[in-house]
Amino acid sequence: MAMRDDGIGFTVDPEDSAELVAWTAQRAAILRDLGAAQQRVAALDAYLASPDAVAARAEVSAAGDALSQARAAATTAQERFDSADAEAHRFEANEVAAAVAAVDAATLVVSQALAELLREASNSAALTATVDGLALRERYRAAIAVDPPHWDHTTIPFPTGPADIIDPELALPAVGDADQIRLLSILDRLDERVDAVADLVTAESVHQLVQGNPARSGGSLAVAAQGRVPDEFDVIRTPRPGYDVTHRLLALVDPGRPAPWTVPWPGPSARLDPVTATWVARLLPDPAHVAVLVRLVMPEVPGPPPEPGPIESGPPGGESGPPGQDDDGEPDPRVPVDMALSEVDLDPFGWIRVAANPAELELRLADAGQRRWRAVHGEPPPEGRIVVEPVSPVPGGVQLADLLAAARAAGAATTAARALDPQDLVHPAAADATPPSAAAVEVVAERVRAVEAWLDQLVESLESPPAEVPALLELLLQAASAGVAEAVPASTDPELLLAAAGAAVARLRPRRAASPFTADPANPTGSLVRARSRAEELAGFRLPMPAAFVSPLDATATADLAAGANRLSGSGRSSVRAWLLDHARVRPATRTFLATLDLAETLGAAERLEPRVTQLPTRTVDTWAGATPAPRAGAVSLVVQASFGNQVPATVAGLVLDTWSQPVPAEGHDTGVAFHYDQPDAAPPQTLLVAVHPDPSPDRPAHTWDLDTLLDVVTATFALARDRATAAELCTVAGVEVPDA
Amino acid sequence: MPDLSLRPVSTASTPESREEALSAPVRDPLWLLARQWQTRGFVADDAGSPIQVRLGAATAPLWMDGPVTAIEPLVEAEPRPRIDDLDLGRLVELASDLGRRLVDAGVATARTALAAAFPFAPTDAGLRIQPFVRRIPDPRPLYHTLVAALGVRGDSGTMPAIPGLPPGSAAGVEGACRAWLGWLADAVVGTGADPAPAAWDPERLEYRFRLTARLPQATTALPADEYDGSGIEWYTFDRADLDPSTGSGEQPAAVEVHPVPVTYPGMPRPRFWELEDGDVNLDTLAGTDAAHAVLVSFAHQYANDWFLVPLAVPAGVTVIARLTVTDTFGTTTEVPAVAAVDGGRGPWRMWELTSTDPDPAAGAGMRLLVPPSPAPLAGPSIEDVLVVRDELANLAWLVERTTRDGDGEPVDRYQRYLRLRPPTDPAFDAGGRAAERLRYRLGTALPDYWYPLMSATGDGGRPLLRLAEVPPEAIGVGDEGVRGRIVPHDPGTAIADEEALREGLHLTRQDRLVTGGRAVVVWRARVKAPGFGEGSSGLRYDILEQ
Repeated sequence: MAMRDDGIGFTVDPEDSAELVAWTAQRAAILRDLGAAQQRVAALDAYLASPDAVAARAEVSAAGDALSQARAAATTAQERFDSADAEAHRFEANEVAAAVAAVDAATLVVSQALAELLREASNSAALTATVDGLALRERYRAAIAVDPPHWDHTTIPFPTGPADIIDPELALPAVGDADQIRLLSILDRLDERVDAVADLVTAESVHQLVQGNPARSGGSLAVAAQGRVPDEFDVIRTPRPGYDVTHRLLALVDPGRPAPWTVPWPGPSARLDPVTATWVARLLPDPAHVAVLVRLVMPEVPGPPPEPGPIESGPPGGESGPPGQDDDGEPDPRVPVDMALSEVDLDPFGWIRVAANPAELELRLADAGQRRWRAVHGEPPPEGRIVVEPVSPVPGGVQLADLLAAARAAGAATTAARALDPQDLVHPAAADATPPSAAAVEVVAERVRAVEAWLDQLVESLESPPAEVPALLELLLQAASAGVAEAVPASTDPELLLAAAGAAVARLRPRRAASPFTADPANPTGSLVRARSRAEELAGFRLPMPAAFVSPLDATATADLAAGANRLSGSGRSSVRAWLLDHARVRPATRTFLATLDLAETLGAAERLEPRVTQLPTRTVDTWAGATPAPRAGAVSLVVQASFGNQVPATVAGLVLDTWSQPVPAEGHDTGVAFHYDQPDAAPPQTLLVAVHPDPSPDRPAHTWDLDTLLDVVTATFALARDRATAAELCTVAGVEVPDA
Repeated sequence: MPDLSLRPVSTASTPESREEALSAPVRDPLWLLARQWQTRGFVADDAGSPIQVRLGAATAPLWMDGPVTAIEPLVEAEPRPRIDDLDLGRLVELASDLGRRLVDAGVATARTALAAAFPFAPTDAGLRIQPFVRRIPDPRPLYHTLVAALGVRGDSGTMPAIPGLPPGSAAGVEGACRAWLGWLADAVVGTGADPAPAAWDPERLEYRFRLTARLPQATTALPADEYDGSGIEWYTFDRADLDPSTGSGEQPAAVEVHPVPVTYPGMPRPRFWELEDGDVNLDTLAGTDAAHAVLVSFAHQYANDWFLVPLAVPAGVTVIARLTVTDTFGTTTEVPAVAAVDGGRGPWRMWELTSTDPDPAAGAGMRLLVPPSPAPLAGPSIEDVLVVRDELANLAWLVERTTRDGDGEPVDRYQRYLRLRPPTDPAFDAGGRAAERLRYRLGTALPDYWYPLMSATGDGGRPLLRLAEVPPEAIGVGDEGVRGRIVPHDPGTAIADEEALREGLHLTRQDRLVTGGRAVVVWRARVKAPGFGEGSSGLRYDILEQ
C-alpha cells in the first residue's frame, strides 16, 4: 500500500503495504511508550499520595508561608527603621544639640576646676613650657625693625600701658615696665645667640673649606639647614702645640727558661703557645701546692662524719697525706682525703679556661677525685657520691678559689696582650729589625702541625665513640681542652656522653684543614701571621703565640734592662711602679697587668713585679720619659716586666701588654695676627723694556740718558701697549698683519 | 682661513671667541703690557706695600690662687679621698706597693708581720679581693698608725712598734714605711675630704669657677659659669669686672716683624699671568652654599689685602696693644683692632672673650689662649649616669647605669638588677602567673638604679628636681654599696629644673692623666653631656595585674 497525490487528495494504495506495516509498528511502539508513561504517572501519583510526600509538600507550603511572613516582617522592620531614623534625625537636630551644649558646659566647669588644681603648674616635672625660640626671635626682630618698636599680635603683644590689655591670656608687662626691659634684654641675648650660631656655622664651613675638607664644610651647613647645631666645631678649637713620646709596656721572657710547674699532658693551647703558657704558669700558684678535700657522701651516713684525717703533714705536695684509718687499720671511707690540684692535670691555659667554665671544672674535679679515691683506697668508691670540697686542708693555704681568681686575672692580662715582635724593641725611625728566623718560625709551624694531627685523631675518635664511659669521658675532656664547651656533659650518663660527643664533633670538624700547615721559609713574618691565625682556629680562642728572636736591643738598652741598672734618670723601681699605678687609672690593660701581679705575689706565684726601663734611641745621658714633664721628642720608652732573670738573654720572646702615646705640650702658642691693609694694585711689568736712545748719532756722548727722555720712552711704550689692546674693528690705522696662530 | 689680524676683536660673540678671550694667550711683549694695563696692573692708587710691622701684644698670665699652668686638673679634680673611703681594690694596690717597698728594702719577711698586725679582713670583699683577705696588711689602720707617729709625709717622729717584726728588720721597715707615706701624701688625706670638687655646682651639675688676668690697662675677671668638663677652651670663659685702676700699666715691648700675604688653597692670585693652584678651584663651588659663596666673594675682593705676622705668646689673656705698618715709601699706618673699629655692637665676637659687663666696648679684643696642655689620657667611665624626663610618670629620673662596687669594680646596674630582682617581679614569669587571680597594686616596681626626681621649689622660687625616697617595697633590690656619687644620695639633694632638658643629661666620672707641671698629673673628673632623649621607667600607678 502506498499513498499518492492525485490532485484531489491523498489516495491510499493498498498494494503498497510496507509503509503501513511500518506505521503500524511505530504506533504500537508509541502505544507501549504511552502505557509505560501512564504506569509511571500512576506510580508517581501513588508516591505523591504517600505520607512522606504529603509531609514534604506540607513543609514546602509552610516554608512558602514563612517566606511570605518574613518578607512582611522585613517590610515592617524597614518601615520601623525608617521611622527610627527619622526620629534620630529629629533627636540629633534638637535633643543632641542640647546635650552637646550641656557637655560643653560641664567641660568648662571641669576645665575651670582643673585650672584651679593646676595653678601650681610648676609642681609638675613634665616639660610644660616649650617655646619655639626661633619663632620668638623672628617676632622680636619684626617688632624692632621699626622705630619705635611695634608690639602687637603679629610681634609680641606688650601692652602700651597697664590698662591696655591686648591679650588677656598673656600677662605680659607693659612697655617701659622694669620687667619688660628685662625681657627685652633677654630677647636681645636670644637674638645675639642665634646670630652667633649662624656666624659660627658659616665660619666652621669656611674653616673646613680652606683646610681642604669640602665634605665637612658642606656637612656643617647641611646640619644647620635642618635647624640643628652641629656637635663639633673645629674652627673654635685652639690648636694644642706639642709632640708625642711613645710608651710601651712589655713582658720580656727568656724562651729557654723552664716553667715553675708543668703538667704531663698539656692541652692544645699550651702546646701551641708554650712561651705564654710558661709566663702564665709563673703568674699562678703551683697547683701542686693547692689542695682540696675529696669526700664520700653516702646515701645514709650514720652520725656526723669524722673530721678530716691528719692534716699536720704540712703543705700538700704531689704526694698527699695519709688518709684517716678506721679501727682495723684500713682507710676509713668516711674520712675525706686531700687532693693536690696538680692531679686535675690542667695546664696554665686550662686553668684560665675552667675559671670561666665551672661545669668543666666540676667535671674534672670529680674525675680527679675518683682517681684520688681509688689511689687511696685501692678500689672505686662504694655506693655514694664523690664530692670535692674546695677547702684547703692547710689553714691559711691557697684555696681553689684563689687559684681561679689568679687564673681569671692572668686570662685578662693575656687576652689584652699581643705577641712581641722585634720591631717593638727598636725605635720607629731606626732600620727595620730582623724578623724571626725561618728556623724559629718552623718551630712554631711544627707545633701547629702537631696540634692539627692531634685534632684529626680526636675528631676521628669521637666520630666512632668508644662504648666505655671512662674512655669516652677522656675524649670529651680532650675536646673541652680545645675550648669546646659542648663537650662537657651534664652527667656521666652514656646517652648524654654520646650526645656531647656528637656536639663536640660538630664544633671540632670545621677546625680541621685539608692539608697540614706549612711555613714559607722565604716569608717568615707572613708565615708567623698565618700560624697565629691557624692556631686561633685550633685552640678556639686567640693566642698571642710570641716567637723567639734575637734581641735587637743595643748594648746600652740591654744593660738598662739588667737587674739593678739605674742609668736613666728617674727610673728607680719605686718611681716606675708609681708611674705604672698612675697610668693604670687611665689604661685598663696596665691596670689588669698590675692587678695580676698583685695577686701573683700575694699567692706566692713565681712572678714578681719587676719593671725595668730603657729608652730608644739610647743616649749616654738621658732622663726617662716617665720622670720628666718635658721628655725628649720622639723618645720611645720601654717599660719591661723582666721575666728572664738578671740579664737580657740573646734570644728573647714576650708580650706587648700596653702601648700608648703621651702628648707633651709646648710652652706657648705659635699664633699669627692677620690685618687688612689696602696694598697697591700696581705690580711690576711683565715685560722687560730694553730702550735705545732716540738720538742715533754717533756723536752722542755716552751716558746721556736723562729723565725726560726715559719718561718719553716709557710713555711711548705704554702708548703702543694701549694701541696694542685696541680691538681690531676699532682700529683705523692699517698695521702690519701677521698670522695670529 | 686663519685670523691674520694681530688685534683682538672687542666683543666675544661666539663660544670660540669667548674661549679665546679667556685663554690668556701669551703673545708679544706689548701684548703683555697691554693686558697688565687693562687689568689695572699699573695704577698707583693706594700706598706702598707693607714691608714691616711693629707689633705690641700684652699677655697676662692666668691666676687662680696662684699662677695657673694647667686649668683642667686644677678645676676638675675631685679632692684627694680619705684613705678610709677608698675602695678595696685601691687598698690592695696600696698594700701591694708597701710590700714591694719592703722587698726593695731587703725586709720581705716583714710583710707577714704587718699582715698579722694590721689584718686586711673586709666583710664585703668580692671575688677579686677575696684572695687578699688576711694575706696583706690593711692600709687604713696602718696609715693612721704611721701618720700619728711619723707625720703625713713620714718625715718626722719615731717609728711605732709593730709586733712580730723579724729581728734586724726595723730599719728597713721604717725606711719603707716613711717612703710609702711620702708617696701616699699626694694621693690620700687622713680626714675631712669633700667628695665633690670645689668648683662643682651640685645643682647645675657643672663646674663654676673664676680666673683673673692682670693686663696693662686693667685687671679682668674670667668667670666660667657653665663648664661641662669636656675640655677647657677660650669660650669656656667670659670677661667681667674690668677694673682699669688695677691694670699693671706696663706697656708691652713692640717687636718688629715682616708681614706675609695671607694665602690658602685655591686662593686667586692677584696677578694676571700668575698660575693658580689647580688642586682647589673655588669658583666651581661658589654656587653650592653660603660658605663657598662667602669664601669666593672674599677671595675675589680682598684676597691680596690681608697680611699675616707671626706671634708667639704664652698662655693667658692676650691683647694686641698696637700694630703699626710701615710701607715701601716709609709711611707708617696704625692698624686698629677690629673690635675697636666695630665698637661694642654686641657682647659676642668670634675668638674673643664675651663681656658680661653692661658696656662691652671696654676691653674689647681680649683673647684667651689656654695653656697648651694636650688632651688628657682618659680612663673608662667610673660612673655613668643619666638624668631623663619621664612625661608618662610625670617625673624626672636619675638613672645610674654604671657605678662601682666596694671592690672598685664597675657594676652594670641593669644587669645587676636583672640578676637580683625578686621572683615576685611580674616580668619574671608572665606566662606562669596568668592563671592567678587579679590583684591590685598601688604601683609597679622600680628598678633599683632609677631614682625619682620630684619637682620642688628652692630659694626664691627656683624650680628644682629633688631626689626623692622610694619605699623599699617598690624596689625589691637594694642598692647598698653600689650607689653613685655624682649626684649624692643625701637628704635634700636637688638639681636645677632647667638643667634636665628634654634630651636629658649624661654625666660621667673618669680618671684623666696629663703631663703637666709635674711629670704626671692624675685626677678624677666629671663630665656633663647631652643625654639620649626622654625615658620611661614603666612606672604606673593603680594597676590590676595577674
